[in-house]
Amino acid sequence: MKKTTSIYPELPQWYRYAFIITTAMLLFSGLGQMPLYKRYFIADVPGFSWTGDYFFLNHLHYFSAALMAFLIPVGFFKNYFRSYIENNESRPAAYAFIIMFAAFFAADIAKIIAAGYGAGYPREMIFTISLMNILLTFLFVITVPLLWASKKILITVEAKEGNTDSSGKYGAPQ
Amino acid sequence: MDISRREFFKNTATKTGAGIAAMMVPAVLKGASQNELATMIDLRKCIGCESCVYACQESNQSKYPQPQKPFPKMYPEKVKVSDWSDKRDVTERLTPYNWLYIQRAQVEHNGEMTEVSIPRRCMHCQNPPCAHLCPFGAAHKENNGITTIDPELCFGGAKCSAVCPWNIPQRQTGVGPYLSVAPALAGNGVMYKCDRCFDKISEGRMPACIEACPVGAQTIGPRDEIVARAKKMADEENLYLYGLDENGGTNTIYVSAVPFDKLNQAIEKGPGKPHLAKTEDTMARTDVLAGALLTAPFAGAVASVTGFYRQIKKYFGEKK
Repeated sequence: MKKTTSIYPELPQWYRYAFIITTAMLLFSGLGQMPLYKRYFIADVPGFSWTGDYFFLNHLHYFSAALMAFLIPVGFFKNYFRSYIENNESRPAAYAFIIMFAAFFAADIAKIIAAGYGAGYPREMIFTISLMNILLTFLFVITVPLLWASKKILITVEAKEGNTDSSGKYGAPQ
Repeated sequence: MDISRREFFKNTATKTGAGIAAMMVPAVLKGASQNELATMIDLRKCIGCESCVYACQESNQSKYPQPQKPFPKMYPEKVKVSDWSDKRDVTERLTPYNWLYIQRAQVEHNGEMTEVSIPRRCMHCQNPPCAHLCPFGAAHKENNGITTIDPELCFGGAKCSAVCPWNIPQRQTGVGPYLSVAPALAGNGVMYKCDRCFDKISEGRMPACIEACPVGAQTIGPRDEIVARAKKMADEENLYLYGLDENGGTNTIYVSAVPFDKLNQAIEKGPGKPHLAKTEDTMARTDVLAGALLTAPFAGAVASVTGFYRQIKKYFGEKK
């Protein structure tokens, strides 16, 4: 028997909003680290001059990164471990998502440490970290909206015997 | 600099490989504990002869940009081109072809008119915002306190110049890796500034400007020694210092008999002509936020483990 399960089964509403807003802030301020907003004159649009303030964007990036660093372990422990214990089911896509996000985030932190405090570190190392950071960001930017935007962010898992979920708590059964 | 697309990707792959290898090298082997070098410029001695300027140009000739012309079209079309290739002999400001210039100030001090000549170049900050905020790590602070920009990595976005309190780095269009990627859409050349003759220093030689100075206005040495000497001179001879605390501390200390606020008022300021005003530590807030960022995952983990423990307890309590 097959059932479908959302990869975000038990995330409370506040967590979802916090996650989406923080991710948006992280990506927007992250893209601003490459001077895109000045290059494309977005900073000249009335009301958007702040997008040309590199220090503000940098502070926003670090602040949203700190928020995300707080949210990730909360979401991981609170939701995935609990659903695993209660329902004895693993969600490969959820773990893939977490691993991808953790890699993206680790590259972000590594970049901050290497660029800011990496005096004497080989430039190649900082370049590699920067490149990983940018590539993972783009990967994230491409993948996550697909997951979030579609209501079909459902993965099909083989339901284990005695573990059918008719309550709809973990996603709409097909 | 003429870099083909293949060369750019080859360089990128090589650098990435070297980077991964470098990550495995312990910090001790990288010489992370080496002392930073600083220079002291005694403005009482400087006669403004520009020997340092020409020595710098001669010594760094091979590092200067050789742009490809015509420049690729950039979009949006109003993106400005920065071309100094036909003005290589400009010495009255900083340009991609002139990394050091003499700023002049006529000031009245203690009832006397004095002319002060001030050699200006990169201050080599201790906590350089250009290196912190460069998106590709092209600007980088070395172990010995020198901040350099790698022309093979720089895309010329000029962010380093915008975040530098003195707007030191200068851009040349038509050169660098952006030409091999998407010149119409991203990048605009390479940023150039004083690299304090890092190649000479690595061979145990003096930077060209210091070597060429006929009056010995500049000295170089370990930062703690230079700072101690500058402070002692300032105390004993009632002199003024600049660069010690500016932007959180720099590796260039100016010593002057005239207060720097007077000099700042007297000098010509503008593009390529940096000020001498008091400068706050531009990276101070970032450092605080970086600290918060590094502690946030632990705070999140503690909060969630506590919550998780409560949930488990409740769950098993309900089951019983």
